Amino acid sequence: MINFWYVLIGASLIAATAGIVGVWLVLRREALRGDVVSHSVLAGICTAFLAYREKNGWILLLGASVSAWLSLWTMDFLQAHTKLKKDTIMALILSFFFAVGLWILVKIQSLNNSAKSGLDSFLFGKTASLLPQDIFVALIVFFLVAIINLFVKKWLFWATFDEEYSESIGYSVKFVRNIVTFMSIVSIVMGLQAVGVVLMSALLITPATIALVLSPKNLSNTFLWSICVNVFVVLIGTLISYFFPKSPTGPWIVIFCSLLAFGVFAMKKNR
Amino acid sequence: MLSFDVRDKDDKNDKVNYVVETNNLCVSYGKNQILKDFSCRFPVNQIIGIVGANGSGKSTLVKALMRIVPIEKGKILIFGEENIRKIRQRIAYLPQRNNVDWDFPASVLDVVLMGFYKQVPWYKPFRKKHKALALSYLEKVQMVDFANKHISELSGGQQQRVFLARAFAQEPDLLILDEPLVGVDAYTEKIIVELLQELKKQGKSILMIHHHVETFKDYFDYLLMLKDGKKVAFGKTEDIFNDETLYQVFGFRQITL
Repeated sequence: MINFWYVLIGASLIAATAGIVGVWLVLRREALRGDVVSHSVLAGICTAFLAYREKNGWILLLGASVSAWLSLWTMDFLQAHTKLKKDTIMALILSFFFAVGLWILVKIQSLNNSAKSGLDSFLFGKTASLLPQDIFVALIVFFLVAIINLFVKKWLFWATFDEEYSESIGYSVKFVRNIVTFMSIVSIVMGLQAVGVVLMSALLITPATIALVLSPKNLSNTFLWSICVNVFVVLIGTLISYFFPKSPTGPWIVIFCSLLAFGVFAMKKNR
Repeated sequence: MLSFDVRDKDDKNDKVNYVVETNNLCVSYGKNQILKDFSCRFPVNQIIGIVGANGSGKSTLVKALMRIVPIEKGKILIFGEENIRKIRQRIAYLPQRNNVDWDFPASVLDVVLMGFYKQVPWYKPFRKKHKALALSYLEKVQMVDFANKHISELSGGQQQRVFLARAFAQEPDLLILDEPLVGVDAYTEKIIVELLQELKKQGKSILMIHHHVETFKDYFDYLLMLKDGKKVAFGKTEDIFNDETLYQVFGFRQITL
């Protein structure tokens, strides 16, 4: 029973983190960038596992960060040095890194290692498989993201709203881009365990979109809504995952959250 | 006042007479060189118009002044200082209105508060004192009733006035405006021009990109006319603005004026 509460707390932390970061991704029009990152981290996670042969949160986080950074760097490089369109580049990079990740994942599954169990939950997500040490990592990541937002909020806000003005007063836009990338990588790596690689971007984007529809005027309220919606849907998904271990959590969460979003859009449209 | 542009060699203590000086400034986007060996000295305490056809490098010039775009070659001195970090706080920059996300969840007051960045470090929130001060700047542009409105609810002219309030909140010695009068109503245009003249009376300098040929003579003490990243003419508006320069820069002659 204690494990059950652990899982609930861990899932809530993951959801709250994704809720905060998602708002920035939506406001900065980087939703698809988030999708590329979440698909590419699988390669990093699996490589890190292959190297250390254990499912240690920190090591997986390191591997994920490296592959996420690599995918973003490749994307920016292609954009700067080719005439390819942005969406083409994103589709290209996403599928390449995801393919690499899947390839390594299949390799791992053919290995004889007891620790490999649970790694496949990165694909479709399984919150019930959260371990106490994962929850510790989730807690730290949540506090990190919360503290960044508390202290750098003005900077994030200004550089997102008005890039040129922000540069003109010496508030670097590049710094904000890096901060947002950093926050999305850590929140994606945490969220993977809840909904899996394929659906991770939905966990970031959908609650943030709902929040922006519900509170289009006040940024603080947008954050509150986004966090609340995300925690709510993730908790429901977790309960399902706990009581019906055979059903995949990720799809449950995303379907539920998307239906909620459609409902909110329809409701607001009528007004 | 002497006209500064005709003299090439000055004494060192003459430096203060120029608010901005550029020397052989080159700026490129990718392979396209936008500004080519641009040298100019802008006298202090004047309203200076930067004019030219689309793509003549007006916006690039002001962005280079603020170091929003990197400088490829050449030198920029503002208040006689090359290091932008030392003088940035004395300059207010008003970007083009359409480069901003007007759906961003922010109120009019939030935008004006940005102008107080000097008073409050980035990691601290604004206080009541700043909010009251922001309202007084909104009063100046006759937008105080809109303080709590969302920025998407404003018309083009109202958006521009909010931007101006933000720039005024910075209490700048130099104000740089990128096409502040595009797509604004006549009333807003009047308010903006009057406020700029008031700033000039307080001893401040104003650089402004502008399009409407008919108003050059009314609005600007000095005029910089650009074409293809090069200076066609610079000087007092009445001295340099004529049919010949107009034709060189815009490709048409004035019919009446």
